[in-house]
Amino acid sequence: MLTITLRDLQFRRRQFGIAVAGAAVVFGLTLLLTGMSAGLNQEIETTVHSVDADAWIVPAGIPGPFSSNVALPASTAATVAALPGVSTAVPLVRVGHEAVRPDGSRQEIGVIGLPVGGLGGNQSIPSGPGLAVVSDRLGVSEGDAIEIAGRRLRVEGTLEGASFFAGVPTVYLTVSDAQAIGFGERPLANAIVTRGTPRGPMPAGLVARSNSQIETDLRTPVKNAISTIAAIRVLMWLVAALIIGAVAYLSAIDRVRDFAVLKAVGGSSRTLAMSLMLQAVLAALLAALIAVGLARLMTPTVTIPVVFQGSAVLLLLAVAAIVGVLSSLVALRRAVAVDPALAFGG
Amino acid sequence: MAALRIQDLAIEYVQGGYVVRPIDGLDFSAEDGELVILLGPSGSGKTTLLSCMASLLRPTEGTILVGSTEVTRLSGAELEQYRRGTVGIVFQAFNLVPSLTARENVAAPLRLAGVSRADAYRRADELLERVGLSERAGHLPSRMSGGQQQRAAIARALVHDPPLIVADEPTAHLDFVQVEEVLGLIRELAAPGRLVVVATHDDRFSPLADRVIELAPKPAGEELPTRSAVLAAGDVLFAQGEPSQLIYVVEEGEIELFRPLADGGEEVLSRRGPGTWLGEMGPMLGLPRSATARAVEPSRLTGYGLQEFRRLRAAKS
Repeated sequence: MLTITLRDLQFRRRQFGIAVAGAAVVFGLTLLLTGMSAGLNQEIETTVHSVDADAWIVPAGIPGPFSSNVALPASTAATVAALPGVSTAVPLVRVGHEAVRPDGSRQEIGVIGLPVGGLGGNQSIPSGPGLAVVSDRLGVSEGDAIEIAGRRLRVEGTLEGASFFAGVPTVYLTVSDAQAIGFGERPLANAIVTRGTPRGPMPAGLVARSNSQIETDLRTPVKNAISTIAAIRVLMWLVAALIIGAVAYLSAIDRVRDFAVLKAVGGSSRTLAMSLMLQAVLAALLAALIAVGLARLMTPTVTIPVVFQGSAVLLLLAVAAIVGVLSSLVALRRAVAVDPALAFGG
Repeated sequence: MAALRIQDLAIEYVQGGYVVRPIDGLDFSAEDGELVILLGPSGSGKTTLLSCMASLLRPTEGTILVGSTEVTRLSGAELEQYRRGTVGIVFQAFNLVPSLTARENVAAPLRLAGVSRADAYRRADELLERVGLSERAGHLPSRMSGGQQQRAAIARALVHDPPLIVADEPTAHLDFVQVEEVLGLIRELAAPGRLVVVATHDDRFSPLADRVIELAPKPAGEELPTRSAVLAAGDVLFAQGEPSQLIYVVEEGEIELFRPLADGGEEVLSRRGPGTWLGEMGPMLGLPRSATARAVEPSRLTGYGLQEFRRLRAAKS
């Protein structure tokens, strides 16, 4: 049975190859979309983690410092530090701006400013004014000089995958540099971040947000993008199923006479149906494997962060096998219905 | 040891809405070791009859006995078992699977029956040697001649060593050199332990046969005498499928020609009044009546034999 199945694939390798190639491209795009979806989630986690706070204190009425530009005095940090449960509190500045690379090219960036040392031992904050820790997505290296709002800053270090708002690279500065860029040197901040979670009533006009609330705040601007990606991914699965299904169906039509003969010599409908299903599953799995390579090739063409997870590849293989089975169902009915008497005649 | 007994067999099927009954009341038997030739023109039901013997089709009435097995009653696993073990089929179009080599094609029925690859290939090689194709075992059908393909197909039919082989026009696609090699092989197969039934429209093969079954008996050499027929309204003059012998000229009344439909209805083809004739094609071509003729009103007709009818027409013009 396996011989018959594999020989037939070999015999019609062009047809099979076209199906596999088509499905591989679609699967590759699906994998890329999955990677984008994971990338968007991961950059949110990376950003929140880079600040390494236990709570975020923001003006009442706003969800967080990323979706809103409402500022508060940096001196509020002292008030917050006095709250029960809080051991340290520092101001955080978050501004959107543009950076000029050494080669003169410009890049939209997100600036996060924190006092040197942050909440204690924070690696993402530069060691002094005039220095910057930048996302590797900005495309500059340690020692390079970048310019933001007319200020020259030397790159002290890079941080892998640091970005928010769908791939906009993050530049970490000291809070004074960030205030100079965002607030004209006025001592303002977008949030006060704390070590330790404040207990009891908050001072008037302030609210405390948890890390997960801040993740939601970061997700707000890209929420539509994430749900669109999810919807397109479903469509991609459908397209892949259609491609493999169409080829399985054509294969069944091509093999009607073979099936009639094999039935006439004692092959059961079930055996023949298994052969068709096996072909579709093999096509789908092969396409999925090729797709893994294709997706990596396609990654540089998108600016949204892409993260490939092993689980996504496993899911793709599983879904591909299911797609193969489902798309062969139409063809199966055709194969099962073949009348062995068809084998007679010229 | 298989003897073939066919009793009172009728096969009816529906095609394009019409009911076709190519075989009606067929009786014959053949003994083990015989080569039986089913002879008849296209449309006489040869393939249909073979399909019934191979249990790919169920006859409408009657029984087919192969040895002690009543083929017409098999179903499910028994049917599969019969198709695998008792009957081997040789097709007109060879029907080798194009993606498989000769060896793999011959081994396919064994592999489908769960025999191990090594055993199946050993048996296939043995049979290919028997049909003289040893050195072609690794070739795809597309690289073999028609005769070689048909010999490989015969090897495949023999793979389970079945007591009955049915072959449908096995030489239709072959030239005369290949016809000889294939027919020679088929003749050899019919030996004690195996009964071979070959359907063909070519009566040149008859001398090879131990038994010839004519599916469309030729009309008697002598022409029937002229006769007159008087019908009441609704009387049937002749029915579809009956042997055609006379051509009828309508003297009085009206006759309608119709075909029975699968849904029980009738399709009226035409009506014939005085001075016209009907039923001329059957006797001319040696085919059975293709439609039924029935009187619409009390009618009188004269039936002529073909020669007589021709003389009459020649005299009139």
